[in-house]
Amino acid sequence: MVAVENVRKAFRGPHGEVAALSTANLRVERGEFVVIRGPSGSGKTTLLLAIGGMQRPSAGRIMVEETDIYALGEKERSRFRAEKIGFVFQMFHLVPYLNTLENVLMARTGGDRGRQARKAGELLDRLGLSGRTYHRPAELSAGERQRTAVARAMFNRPPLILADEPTGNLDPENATEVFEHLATYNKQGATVIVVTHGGTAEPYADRVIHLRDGLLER
Amino acid sequence: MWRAIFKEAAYRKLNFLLSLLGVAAAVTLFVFFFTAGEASRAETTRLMRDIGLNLRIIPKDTNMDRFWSTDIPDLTMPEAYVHTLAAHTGLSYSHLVATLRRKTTWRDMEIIITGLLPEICPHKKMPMSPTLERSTARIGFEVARTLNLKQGDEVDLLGKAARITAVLAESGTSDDIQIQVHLYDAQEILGLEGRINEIKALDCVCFSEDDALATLRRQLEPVLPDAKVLQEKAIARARFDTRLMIEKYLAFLWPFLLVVCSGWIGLLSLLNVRERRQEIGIFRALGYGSGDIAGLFLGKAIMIGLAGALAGFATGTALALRVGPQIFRMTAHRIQPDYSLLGWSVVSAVVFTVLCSLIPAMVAVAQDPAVTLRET
Repeated sequence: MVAVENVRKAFRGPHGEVAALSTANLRVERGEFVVIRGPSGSGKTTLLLAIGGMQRPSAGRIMVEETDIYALGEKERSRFRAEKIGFVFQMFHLVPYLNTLENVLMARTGGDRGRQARKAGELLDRLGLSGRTYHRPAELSAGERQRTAVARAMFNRPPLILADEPTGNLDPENATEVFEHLATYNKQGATVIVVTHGGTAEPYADRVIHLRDGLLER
Repeated sequence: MWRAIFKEAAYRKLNFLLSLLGVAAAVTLFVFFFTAGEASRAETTRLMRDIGLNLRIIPKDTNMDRFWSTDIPDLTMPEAYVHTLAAHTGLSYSHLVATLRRKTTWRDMEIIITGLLPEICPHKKMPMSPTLERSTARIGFEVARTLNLKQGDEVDLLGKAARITAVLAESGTSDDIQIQVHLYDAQEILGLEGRINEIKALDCVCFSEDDALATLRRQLEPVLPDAKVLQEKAIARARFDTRLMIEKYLAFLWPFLLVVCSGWIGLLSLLNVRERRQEIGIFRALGYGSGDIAGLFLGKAIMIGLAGALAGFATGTALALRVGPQIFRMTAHRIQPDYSLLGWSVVSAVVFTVLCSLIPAMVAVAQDPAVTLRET
């Protein structure tokens, strides 16, 4: 499903080059729930964004569903991302002026809007947000916001979900709920990769990988 | 896309309203200027007319000592001269008024009879002075006061019946003792049929004041060899300066307005991009391409342009109808809503705001989602 091959990523800083990822290699099989754990600054987000096609590596290759995503043009990569990858971020990153339903519908890749809205409504219902369909993010609790973000990530039924510290801003109860939803989605055949610095996600993981100073450790 | 654009505009009201204000203000000025333009042009013509005609074409052999002491040429020339002058192409003369003036005595009062032929405008310009009908007269302020005459009075003017159609305002010049009648009536009264003694005219201000007279004399010589042209420098200068001032003012105003408005809209658009950096990152993460991102900002620009044009047209027209008559008192009736300006306003405002938002849209497209999504 995901193959990270000799990936290196360095950033140019005021004191020279800083390596965020040092020759990372990783294979994630279809249907796996993988947790990548590491402290702040270890390169977790860089790795996740690189897998998601949003951070071009300095060297190496990233394959998602047998596709070298950085060999694609910008337009094709955007389309690939829209259809194959769902993102969940620590800061929720919902569009502030759209309501819950519209935020979820942002992920749609076409089709009849009415039908898509019904589908989004059902998804929100499953995630316990049916009473919040027309609320804006500012009117939602942190847990509700993150569940909206999870719904958005799942809406297109992408085969891969990438979650960056998805429970970093949630209390334990809400964190558990978010992981339960991700695990349910994973059980339906999707691949889930979660990067986190804590251990909350580990009970749901098929595999835990540690990332330290840009190096992946098994 | 449009739903998101509308919702964003409603959410960030201040940015939207300030942008709208910029476009609407520019369109308001544009619409006001052009709606009131017809009245402004008419008013300018009226003011120019009041400044007076600055060229005097008189018989070549006029005794200049006497001319300057009386302001009336002692010789006459054929009335046909004015038509010859008007028919000749390539001259810089316009607004030709053939006159016949003589000092005489009427009802024991020294007066000046001024016969005026309706103005001839060779360059298809609108006449500046009102036409005098046959058997009518306009009398100077002093004539009216001394002889106790008023508008509507019927008088016998040296054997010619005439109705007074106007009493001229006090001018403080010899015009206060003149009686203006149609040229043919003056010729009859003075026994000078077919004769005039002066053609008043305007130069076209196509050249600088320094070489004007030489050019005008060079032009006149082959057409009317028996006439000569004099230029009233003070009037010529006043006209020249007025024209120059208006041109300079407009040459400054429009570019200034464009620069200020484009800077204003561009800046607000750029601030909008800055404020929406994370949102751009989300759109990227959801698979939206550069075209979609640019579309969000350019779509908003189109909306602002459209709304600004409509608001500006309504405000500009209302302002022209309300304030215009106070500025252009004499020609206020010419101020009418010009609906053709609506189309122009919409097209130019939309194109203008889109152009102003191009750079901010590029900046938005260039945002790196990997950077913006990490920002807290």
